[in-house]
Amino acid sequence: MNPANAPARRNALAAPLSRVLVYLLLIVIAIVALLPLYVMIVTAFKSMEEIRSGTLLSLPRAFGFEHWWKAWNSACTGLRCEGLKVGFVNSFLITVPSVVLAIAAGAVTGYALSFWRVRFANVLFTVMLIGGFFPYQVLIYPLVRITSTVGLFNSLAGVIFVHVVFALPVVTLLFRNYFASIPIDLFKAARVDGAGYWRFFFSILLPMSVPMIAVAGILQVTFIWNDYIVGLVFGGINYAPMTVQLNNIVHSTYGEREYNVEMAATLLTSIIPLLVYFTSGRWFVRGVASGAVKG
Amino acid sequence: MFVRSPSSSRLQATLTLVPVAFVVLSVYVGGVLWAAGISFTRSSMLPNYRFAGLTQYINLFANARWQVSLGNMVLFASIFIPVTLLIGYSMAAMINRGVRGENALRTIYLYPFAMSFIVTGLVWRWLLDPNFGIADVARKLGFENASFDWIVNADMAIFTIIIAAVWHSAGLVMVVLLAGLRGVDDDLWKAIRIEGIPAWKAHLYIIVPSIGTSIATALVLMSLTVVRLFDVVVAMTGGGPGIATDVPAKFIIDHMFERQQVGLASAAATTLLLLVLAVAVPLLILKNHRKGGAR
Amino acid sequence: MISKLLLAATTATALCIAASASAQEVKGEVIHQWTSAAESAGVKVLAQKFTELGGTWVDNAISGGPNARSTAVNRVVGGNPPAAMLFNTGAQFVELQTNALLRDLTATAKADNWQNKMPAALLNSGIVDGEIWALPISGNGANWFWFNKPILDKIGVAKPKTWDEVFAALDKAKAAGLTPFTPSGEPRWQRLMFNAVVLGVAGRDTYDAVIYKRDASAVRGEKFKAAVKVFEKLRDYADAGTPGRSWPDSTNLVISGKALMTQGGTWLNGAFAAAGKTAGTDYECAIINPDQGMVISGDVFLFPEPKNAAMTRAQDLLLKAFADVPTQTAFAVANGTIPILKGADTSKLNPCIAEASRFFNDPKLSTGSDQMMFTPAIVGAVEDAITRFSTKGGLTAEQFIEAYAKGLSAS
Repeated sequence: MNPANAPARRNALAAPLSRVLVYLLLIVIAIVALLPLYVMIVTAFKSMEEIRSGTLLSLPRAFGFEHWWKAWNSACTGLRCEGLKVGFVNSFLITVPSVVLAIAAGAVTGYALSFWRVRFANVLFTVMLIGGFFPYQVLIYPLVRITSTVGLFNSLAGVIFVHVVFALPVVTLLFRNYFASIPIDLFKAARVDGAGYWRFFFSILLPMSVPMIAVAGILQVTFIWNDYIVGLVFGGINYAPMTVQLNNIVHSTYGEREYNVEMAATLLTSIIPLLVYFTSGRWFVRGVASGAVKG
Repeated sequence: MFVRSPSSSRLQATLTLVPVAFVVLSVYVGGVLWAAGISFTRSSMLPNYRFAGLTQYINLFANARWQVSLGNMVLFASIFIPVTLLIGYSMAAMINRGVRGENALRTIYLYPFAMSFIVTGLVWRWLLDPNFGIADVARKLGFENASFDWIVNADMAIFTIIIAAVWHSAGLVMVVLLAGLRGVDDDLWKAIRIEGIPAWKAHLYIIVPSIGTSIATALVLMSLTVVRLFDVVVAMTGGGPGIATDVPAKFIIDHMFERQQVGLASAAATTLLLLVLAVAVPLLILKNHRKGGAR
Repeated sequence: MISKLLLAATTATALCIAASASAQEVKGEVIHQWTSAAESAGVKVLAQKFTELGGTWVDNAISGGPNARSTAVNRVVGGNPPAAMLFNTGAQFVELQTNALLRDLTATAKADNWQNKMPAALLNSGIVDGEIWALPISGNGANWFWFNKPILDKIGVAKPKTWDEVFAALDKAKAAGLTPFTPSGEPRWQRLMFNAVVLGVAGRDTYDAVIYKRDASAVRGEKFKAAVKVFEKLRDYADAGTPGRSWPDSTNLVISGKALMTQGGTWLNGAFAAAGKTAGTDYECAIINPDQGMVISGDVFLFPEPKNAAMTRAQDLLLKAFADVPTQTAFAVANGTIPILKGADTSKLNPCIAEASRFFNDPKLSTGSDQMMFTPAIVGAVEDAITRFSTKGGLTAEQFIEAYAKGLSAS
């Protein structure tokens, strides 16, 4: 990438008036996007009395953090009154290896599928992609049988395995399509320079793919962190993720609902994906296209 | 047109794909075939192998809920996909021009995706509630006749689901397209600037075709959202009023678990997959045809 | 990476096993969906008794009955069953039994004299081929209507006992500019309300013919049709916000004085109590046309076929704790449900629960819920029909009766 080019490109389509318009539009969209979040935050601070009687958009009369504290530390789910924090570590233990493995597997598969004329590669990819459309809940029973046969049922490795399997179609799709857009000249030049199979992947392709790694990371962190059923079924009681507690807090069938605690619990549960979104920023630097070959 | 690769590298590519192929074959192909088999049995709570012929399929297509579900899926797809794509692309194009606070804006647009729909669905329910939602806020602002009752109106409720789903997915589509835009060659932007091509024309005829694979990725992700649509519906309307907002995934999950009709649920899942194939296969053939068999 | 994790996981498991073996603990994992405040208080009573008997309660609370049940079933199928799991009273468990995945409780029941301790209706629903497979743990009454007392006073109406009185009260509330009726709009509560109307309008004989015998001709009969008409009329009093509204939200509208009436089972009493309301002064509960009796429903514990002697031991202790009269009674009081064992001390019960308890213990005044008698497939099919009828612009009365009759043969 040539940094000197960037400002020139940015101004390519811009005139001063249209810039104002762009900012205006971006801000309006941001406000609409934030409206539900605003409702959640103010609700999390309100008392139940205020929620029942007040209007949806009004600011809370007093800001108290007790509902947040309760959601994190003392909300009861069944016998245990330890809030969301119980599952937090488990969610980490599940999410980090699952996301890393899913991205690694998807990137390598996408690479093998896109630059190398492997026999039946397209068939494999098509089958995988279409398999991704099958309602995964229907696959739970066969997966229970598979994991219990190989002794992974109700273990951390079992949960991770199932997550990686479910993530594979989408992550492979992301990388395969991204690699497909990379000019073939780049590949040819690297081959001429004598780059081998893995060297081309690690030293040329991977550095170019950071925005796509960010997208894949965003997707999988969200899916796996927010997953409920895989953790519940395949993790057993020892590896139940945070969403099990969230669901218990939110979905008490026969209880009085505490909306303020529910909202606080949801926001607390989303903190990790939100952090990932925000810090993915530097991964969104402009990718390198043909410029890399020339430069 | 393609570099002849030394057979060792291609062998490596093939070897890379073997474990993936094994997982894909055993879980996806095996799982789908197993479920398709179960759809010809009398399975209720647990799968069994008592042959039932086409009974499950006959019952399925006589089921009013299933008919409504399929209709809703088609309606949902035909509005959700173009609207989300348009909004997502516009946001990505605007952000790609280089704006201050890109990181914050990207996070704001993307955050809905981080939130579990268990609770954000509830917030949307509140916002759209005819008595104390947005309509109430409008009334208090002086628009005394303001009313908005789509969510409790059987004919309109599906549109409230679409609104929430667009809100949820637009940010994701934006980052996928942004990653694609970041891969567009600097020279292309330069050429557009030098030629003085109007912005809309440049986007429509030059930029969009050059990020075709990213758009294809976004389309697949949105299609997955359409086919798997479940959480939003459960949280916002529970499939109601009546069965007005029912969707295939909800039908399948309800019958798979709560109603102990594994055979019927498998028939529905198999039918759904066949419908996906019926849409995907012609598209794939068309695509390969146009490319003339090249990569 | 996977293999490393695998190694770590297996080592951890091995350590756990070693630790538990040395401590000689009798661990009993219980999967249940009791997650609300009142329910948790109930679970605590059961767990305490189990601990007293020498067990270690491993609590696995998963909210939402279907979630908890399907998780439990997957655990059983995957070969790592819990010691006990909670199901609804009725036919839900039968397939686990036919697949030899459940422990036969007949011997325990005989030794502990369940026959004389428990109401026949609940115990019988856990019997297949003369053997007992399920232990009843809680009981509810489903066909109750709940009223805001200050509003009743304001419009000058006594607690309604007949359908005519109900409609008169609703009309008066409407005339006074109040919201008359705020039922829940979720399909399963609509089904509950429909059953309440069938029993209260069509009468016990028709109700039993439909629910116990799945008699489609009774569904097409005049009495059932009269019930459908009353249900339709009630539906038209429901407020605009009804579709999709949960029962706690619906109950809150009555608690806060925004509406006169709602419908729901004895568990609504807990919501009134939690809001600090007193039966008789702040709210009223009533079965309409009470001579026809009360619809009872409940929960049972199932015990998967044990994997080893330690699990058998844990189950033995759990069974002992759950069938203990004082424990069960204390559980019911905490949980806000009806004490189901005979000889329970009912003096501490809230008036609504005490009244429900009276119905519950009189076979002439109690009958089973659809969930107790139907397979889950039939429950689902009639529920679809009911929710479509409950929606304005949905099915007509005639179409609904046909859909209901057909639903009785779903499988």
